[in-house]
Amino acid sequence: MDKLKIALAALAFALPVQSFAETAKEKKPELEKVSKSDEKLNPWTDCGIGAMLFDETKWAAVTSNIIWDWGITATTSAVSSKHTCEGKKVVAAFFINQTYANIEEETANGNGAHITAMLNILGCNSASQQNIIDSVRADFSKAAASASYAEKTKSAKAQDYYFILDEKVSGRYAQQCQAI
Amino acid sequence: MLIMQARAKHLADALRWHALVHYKKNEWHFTDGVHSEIISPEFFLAKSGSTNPSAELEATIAGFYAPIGVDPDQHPQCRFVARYKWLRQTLDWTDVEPPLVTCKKYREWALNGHIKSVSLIFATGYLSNPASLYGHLLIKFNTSDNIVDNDLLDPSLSYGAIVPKHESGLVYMSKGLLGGYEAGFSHDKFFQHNHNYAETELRDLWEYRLALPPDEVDLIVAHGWEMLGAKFNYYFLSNNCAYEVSELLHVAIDDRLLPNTPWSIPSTVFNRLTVIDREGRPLVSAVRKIPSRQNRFYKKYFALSEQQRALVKKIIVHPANFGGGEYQDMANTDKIKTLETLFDYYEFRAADEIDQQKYRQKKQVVLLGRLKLPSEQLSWPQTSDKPPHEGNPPLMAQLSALTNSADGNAIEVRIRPAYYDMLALDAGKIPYSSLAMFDFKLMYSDEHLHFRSLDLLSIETLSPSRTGAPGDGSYAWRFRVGLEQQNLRCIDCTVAFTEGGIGKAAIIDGNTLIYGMLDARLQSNMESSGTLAGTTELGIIAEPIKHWRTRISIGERAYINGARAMKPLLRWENRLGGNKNWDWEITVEKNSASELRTSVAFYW
Repeated sequence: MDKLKIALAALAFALPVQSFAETAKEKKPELEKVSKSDEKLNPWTDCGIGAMLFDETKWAAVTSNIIWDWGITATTSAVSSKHTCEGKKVVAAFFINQTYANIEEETANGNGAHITAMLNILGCNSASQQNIIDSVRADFSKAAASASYAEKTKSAKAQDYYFILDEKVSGRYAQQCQAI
Repeated sequence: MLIMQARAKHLADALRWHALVHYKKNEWHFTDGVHSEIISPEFFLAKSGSTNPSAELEATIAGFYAPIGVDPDQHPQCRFVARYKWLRQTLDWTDVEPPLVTCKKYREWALNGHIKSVSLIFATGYLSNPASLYGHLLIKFNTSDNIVDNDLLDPSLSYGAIVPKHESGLVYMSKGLLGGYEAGFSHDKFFQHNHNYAETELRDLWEYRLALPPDEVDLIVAHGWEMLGAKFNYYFLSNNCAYEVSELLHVAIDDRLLPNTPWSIPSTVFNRLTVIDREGRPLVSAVRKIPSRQNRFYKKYFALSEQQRALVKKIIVHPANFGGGEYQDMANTDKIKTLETLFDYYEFRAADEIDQQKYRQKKQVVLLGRLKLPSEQLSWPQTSDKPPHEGNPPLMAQLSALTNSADGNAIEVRIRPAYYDMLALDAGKIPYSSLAMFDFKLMYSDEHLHFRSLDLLSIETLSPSRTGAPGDGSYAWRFRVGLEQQNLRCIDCTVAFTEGGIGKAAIIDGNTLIYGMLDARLQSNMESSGTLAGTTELGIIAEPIKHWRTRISIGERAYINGARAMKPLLRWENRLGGNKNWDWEITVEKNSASELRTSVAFYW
């Protein structure tokens, strides 16, 4: 009853609303689940990561429950789907896409919480992580030096970064990132 | 047999059972009993479960013996994991073992038992969004013993209203206040909250880690699982994030985490948590700040040498300065410090939607500069900011003795349910800002009680630049709406008003700020006062010595359509004391008449 009285009183005075909680963020469309026989998966175009880009809006950046339902859980249960959108790579791509500003800085610094988390998603063991970062850093230096880098959108930069990383964890460091 | 045990132990009346099903006493006196605050029918196993704790308890026990179907995750043992855990602890299950169900989805969600502790996260207020003025509260499940370890992938639960996209502001306000929205818990990895709050909205996060035994951590995690998909009715003022997160924790923590008020304010929860002891140990084991991108920039900027600061500003103003002799002469570590500070500056500026791309382009030059230097992890000074629980609690009662040049001596009583004022302790609040709601003053003089004022809402933020860097700091602004005396001379001449102002503030040294504001005011007429006025104001806010904060403002008000001429206004406020629960204030004010007030305020 008290809350109703307060609410009516506030409305009666045309008070701009206060809230003590954020609004629940609206779910983005579920990522398209596809199967690809192609060796190279592009999570942006094949799985719709670009479409569920987390807007950098003041009012409310979005959340997605979905990707973690079938992303990280697949990780923990060791159900690896290398060529589908249910694998860890898609989760890593999603993480890179959203936190790209941190990822590029930490790569430049050679360390940081976000790139550690990124490699943890990919199942890369701790001992190998610094080597992978150093290797990615070397290639990223070239990508960031290109004339077109500054003009690219954040999502396009994230894609470029993802492919640099993917080359390392699927190639030279595949053994160290076993769970992929 | 278990049902008989449960009846004998009166478990249907147990506090924990009521917490698990979110039962509350019916608010209307003519109906006895309880109702669950959860409105999803699927949350109940008994038909009358939402209002009948006994029926729900017995249906729950019976449900645990249901045959395992095609999808074991739909079995009651898997859907109601916390209920199952609690009843396993409470009843004797010898010789009455139910079927063994493997709850795969729950186990995965709960990280196969690797959750070690629970934290509450407070996202500080955000004055640009009315829905976020008072901050936000969420739960994080920690996979590490150490509070400073990487927790970006740790799971978290957040409560909020489910608002359709593109809802109009008026509908949003009305439905939010009147309970027109459903709400629920969503689960995300913590990095998403870190990104949304600290990186995009530039809000600090405060983590309070709870020292709970493993079985209580398990129970909270299990109840968090039960909450996914459960829907509630949402009320902005009361049944909000602070309330529902507190209710969720009640499955393990009996202590009340919110005061018995019809409204719920997130910061209050932290005030309570930090005074709770469990078996001689504080419930909160550690507190840490996760600074916003903007505050990370400040922290780094002020850790630089004068020369480095000057270079940072030069590069910001003229990026061509980057790479010049001044930079080249620096040691690598100093270069890295400068570049990391610039990273934060550019991202802090890019958080503003305007010119986002421009700042990211400028950042590229710095990024390349950093890539040319070796990898190195710098250690920056730790923040010494006070956490939210060290600030004044939001509910204030103030008693003042005053002498008024027109009316003589009087007593004033003031009640402010929320939240903080400009001179309040700096802890978990936006610096140089104030936010008040339903701030109510009465005066007793000549054996009569007189209404003085009611600020329905009052917001002021001065947003000064901390560093002097371009784009750091913005316009000061304020807004007030309510009822008040026309001036200090005139008792019982109440006017309704709304006023808004814009201005600029500047910090002239660490503890002193000056500002200028221009306000427009619309009010009801009082003795030909006029209804539309403009006010100019110049002011200074300072802390001359520890525990003495002062604000002096002078100005003039002129009514565009009234008979009264330009009126001088003066106000000098002083807050004395460093205690969060009380302080002493002395105020001198001139508005037609002069007044001196001395006050003692209590906060809880």
